[in-house]
Amino acid sequence: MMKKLSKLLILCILLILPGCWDYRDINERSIVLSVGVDTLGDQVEFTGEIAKLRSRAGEDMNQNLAEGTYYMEAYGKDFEEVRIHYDATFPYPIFLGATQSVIFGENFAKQGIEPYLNRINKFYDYRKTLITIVSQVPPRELYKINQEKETSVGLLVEKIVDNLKRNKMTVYSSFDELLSLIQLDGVGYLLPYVGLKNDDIAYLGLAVMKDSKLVSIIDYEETDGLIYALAEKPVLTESLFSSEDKENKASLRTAVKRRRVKTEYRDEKVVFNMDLLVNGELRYQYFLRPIPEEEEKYLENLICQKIKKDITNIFERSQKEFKCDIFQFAKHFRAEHPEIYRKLNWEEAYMTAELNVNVEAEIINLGLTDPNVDKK
Amino acid sequence: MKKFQKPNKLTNKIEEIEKLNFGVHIRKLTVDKTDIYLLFILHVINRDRFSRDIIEPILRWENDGALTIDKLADSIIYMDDISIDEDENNIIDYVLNGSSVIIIPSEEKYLIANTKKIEKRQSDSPEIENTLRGPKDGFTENFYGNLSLIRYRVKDVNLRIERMQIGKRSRTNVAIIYINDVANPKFVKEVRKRLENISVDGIIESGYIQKFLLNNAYDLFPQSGIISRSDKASAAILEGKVCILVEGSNLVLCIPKTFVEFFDSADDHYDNIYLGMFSKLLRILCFMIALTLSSLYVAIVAFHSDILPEQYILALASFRASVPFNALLEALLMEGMVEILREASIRLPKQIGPAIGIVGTIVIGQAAVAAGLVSPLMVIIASLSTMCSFVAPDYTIMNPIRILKFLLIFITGILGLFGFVMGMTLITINIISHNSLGVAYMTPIAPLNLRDFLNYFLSDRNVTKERPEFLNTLDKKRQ
Amino acid sequence: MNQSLSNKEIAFILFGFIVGYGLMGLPKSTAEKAGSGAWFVLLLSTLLAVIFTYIIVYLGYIHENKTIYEYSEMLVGKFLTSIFITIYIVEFFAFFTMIVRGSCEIIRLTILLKTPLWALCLTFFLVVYFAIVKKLKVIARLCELYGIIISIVYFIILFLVSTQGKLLNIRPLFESENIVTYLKSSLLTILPFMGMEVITIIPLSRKKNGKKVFKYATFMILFIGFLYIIAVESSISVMGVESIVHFKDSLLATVRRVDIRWLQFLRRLDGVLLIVWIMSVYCTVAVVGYGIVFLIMKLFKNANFNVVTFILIVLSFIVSLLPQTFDQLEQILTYTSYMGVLTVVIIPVILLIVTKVKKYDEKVK
Repeated sequence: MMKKLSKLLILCILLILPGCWDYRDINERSIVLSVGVDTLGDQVEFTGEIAKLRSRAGEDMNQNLAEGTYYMEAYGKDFEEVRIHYDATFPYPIFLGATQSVIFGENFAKQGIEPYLNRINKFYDYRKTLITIVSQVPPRELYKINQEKETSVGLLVEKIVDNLKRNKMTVYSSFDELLSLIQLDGVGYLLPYVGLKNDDIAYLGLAVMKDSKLVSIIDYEETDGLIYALAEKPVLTESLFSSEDKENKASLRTAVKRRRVKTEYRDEKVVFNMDLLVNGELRYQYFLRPIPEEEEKYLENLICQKIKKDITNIFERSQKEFKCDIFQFAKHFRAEHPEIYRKLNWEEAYMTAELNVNVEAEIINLGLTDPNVDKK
Repeated sequence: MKKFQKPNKLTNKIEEIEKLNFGVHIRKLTVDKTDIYLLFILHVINRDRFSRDIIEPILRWENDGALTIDKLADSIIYMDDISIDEDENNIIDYVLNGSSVIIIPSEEKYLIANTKKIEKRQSDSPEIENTLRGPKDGFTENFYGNLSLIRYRVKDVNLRIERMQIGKRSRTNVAIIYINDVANPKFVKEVRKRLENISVDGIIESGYIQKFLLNNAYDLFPQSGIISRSDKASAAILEGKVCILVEGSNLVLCIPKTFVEFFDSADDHYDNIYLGMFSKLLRILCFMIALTLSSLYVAIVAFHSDILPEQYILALASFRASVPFNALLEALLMEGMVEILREASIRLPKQIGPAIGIVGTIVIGQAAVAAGLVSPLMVIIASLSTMCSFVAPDYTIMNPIRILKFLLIFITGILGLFGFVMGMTLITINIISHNSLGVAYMTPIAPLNLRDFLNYFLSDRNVTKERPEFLNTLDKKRQ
Repeated sequence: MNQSLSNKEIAFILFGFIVGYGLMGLPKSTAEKAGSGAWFVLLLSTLLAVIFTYIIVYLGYIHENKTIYEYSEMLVGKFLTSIFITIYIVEFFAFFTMIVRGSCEIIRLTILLKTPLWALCLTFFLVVYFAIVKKLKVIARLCELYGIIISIVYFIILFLVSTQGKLLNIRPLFESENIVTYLKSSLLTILPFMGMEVITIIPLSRKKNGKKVFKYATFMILFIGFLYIIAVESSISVMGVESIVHFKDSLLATVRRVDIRWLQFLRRLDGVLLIVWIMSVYCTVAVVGYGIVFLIMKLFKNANFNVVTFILIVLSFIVSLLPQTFDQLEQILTYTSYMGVLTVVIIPVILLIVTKVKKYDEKVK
């Protein structure tokens, strides 16, 4: 008897719960696709894109999903005030779960983005897998560009940057990485830097952030060294002049097969030893010439020097110009010498640190074409 | 009114029956000065056999010597199934059962000849347990026919068929079938006890018995399986289970039955071992889909859209952009509609049933989407979950799901994913707390028994050489 | 009614009880104490937990078919027993209410921001009530079924998470200078392992359980330790020690940072993690709740099981809403864990000593 009663009781109470407190259908929320943060005078500016939903009933089903976006902007003294103004413009509550990119204007980035990073971190709505981007132009201008490639600027920027990263053409810290990096003193990080090129949105290089403040920009062309040093199994292409013919270039695909970073503490000085093993593959030559073994050796040597130069250049820049450890050597050092690390002031130690790059290159194949044909 | 020269208890009974007037015919034959009375009910006996095998030989009998019951039984009547009784009170029972009673007034005993006429349906392929592969002889409403189907497959001398009559008024024949040296005697005893305890006016179908076999009348999930294929019934008996055959029912009951066994089809055992495993997993997955898909939809659309990646969120949102109902109502509405269609298509006459079923589904679904009443995704979900609910070979396991589905949608609509987990837990506890004749319902998963688990999924006699452990059979080995 | 359990069920009840609420904050609490040497600390505390489990199982094994109430009465007398039992009840009760409150709080702070706490707690308690009235056998089976699901899903999630992690983050694996810190903190991190006291309320039968029960219980504790280590290490590998210590819900926070592209619509794993975590909390709460009712029934012999359960549920619901803030709640949980030391270590050891002194175990042999 008691059992049956209790069953009934449970069912009833569950159904009577007058509930649905958090109930909110997805189509009745403002789906924010991208958020821009910048400063305007002494005020903070929020801009953003909201997905525009259009009914598809009875229509052609092959249309694009998001039919475009609304542009939103709001100003205020601090984030909270902006948010109040921001909210005042929305028909529905904001939904941040689909936000894939947060774009910081250059001005804001110079003042420091850490407050906003913490905001993203602590807001449960925000996905922690979004990409933070620094923009040369204010985000508001970026959003207003009429894009034909994509309906949403935010999505477009995210896809450009993501695609580059997947093709190992850039290295930047993802949001979750930089959250742990800002906890380390003297360690900087890299963010993708986008801007306008010929009135089109383009990736321009990497923004160097020290203490979450923008200190410098590394141009796209100069990022090779960083990619060799940081990216996961990077594959790049290098074009090298051949030894004899000054007109002829060989285009090679270089892949880092092994990268080992060893740290040492010698004479009160931090020393990093980076060993790289690079495999090269010949893609093509500008002019077809035989490649004898000496030529291969020559090319291998050339690759070694190039990579070494790239890396040391950036390292020196990081010491002199950026004044922060953008290679995240701190983590390696801490992993190997935790005791010493705790005593050191990493920022100072890094300034006097030494980097030894040791590159071994090997051309492992010349492709399917055979340049060394015996001509009879 | 005939006057009997020497009234005894039998002749009194004849007079009594005549007075009662409930349709018993009394035919008097006189052979060589001996009166013979035949008692029968015209419409339940096989009249051809009755006149050919009983009346004809008696009338043709020309030998001298007194005609006695023993002589009738031994050398006159052509019938196969005859017996002799002395208790005059059983006469009515015999007659009602379709037998003919032969009485010679001068004797104390009488002869019973089984002349029962059975409206026979040809044994054809079963309707509720269709398989691609497997014999097509399903059970019919014919009690003896069904018994013969089982006997035909299991010729073991230890096959026991215990018969009893249940129902004060219907007097339905019920048989408990098992193999003596395999089945766990505890199960047999328990089944016998439960059947003996049934006190009811009538048993019309095996479903009545099935309800009496439940541990608790309010239990949600079935504790005995229904089988309409004779091959499956024989397999169950060989496995060490107890089958219950009910007169007038084309469905045989099989007990004990655990949760996962409801997803076991006959073809799993006939086909390739991998296919059997695959289709079992598929069926269990379908069970989960039928139960949870709609409520997950509600949870994702209304509460936790951010567990999906952004493309999916946008797609979902634009699917629902013009739908006036909220997701909870939408889900309830569509699931309800599908249930209506399903119910209607069962009741519809056979000739128009399929047509209306398809037309109804397509037209209503299409129109609802075009009118912007529901999102196309919801139509897909509702139809998928309905399709999934037809997958189980024994459909009875899916019936509770049809109801629980709505409960789950409700709780999810109130408390999101948390409500979903709580609802699932309620259902799980309910399932787990069931037992079938003392065998835990979720065997072999909880309590976990790895051997039975493999045994179940492999469904190949060649690999699994032992009978399931939870049945605790007397003979543990299959080979 | 016969409530003795098979060895597998006992092992899974242990799993259901121990794994639950604590796992969410485990990476944070261990990383806070021991940095990247967390795995070693967990290893040590697993071994400690194995010892205590062994003691408790040994007590149950020696005193066949008896629960703590009966053998304690036999060993130390009625008065002390009722004190012991009261301690157990108080600990279980605090655990019972605060765990429900805590997990509802986490749910409210993460996925159901506007839902009032009482609604979550009420639902939770009612569903728990449904399990408790079905008694130990059903709870054990539930733990078994859920335990299998939980451990499989956890391992899959943690494996996927660790593929996104960086090996660099979990180094240095071991610092020999810190060994004292490790030892100290291993005593503190034994708290997430609390829960083996549940065996004291399960009657063990020598015929059914046999010596194998030791093997099963030990194996299960080791398995839990393994799960913990994997969870902590994979979380640290993704977040890094310095970042993870800021999250009370560190496991969820870790999983929310992971996005596994090739899983398509399942690429965000936090929904699955939450489902599994709520399931594991449910197992804990159901077992604890049964423990309380069982012990109360031992003290008041004539009470009706269902009525006691019902009163307990109503009372717990009220008590669970009492703490004003999350911090208070965490404090209470910490104190409860210290009480756990009493129930897991001190009382069993006392009983063990008395058993040895009175030589009960030799009589049995």
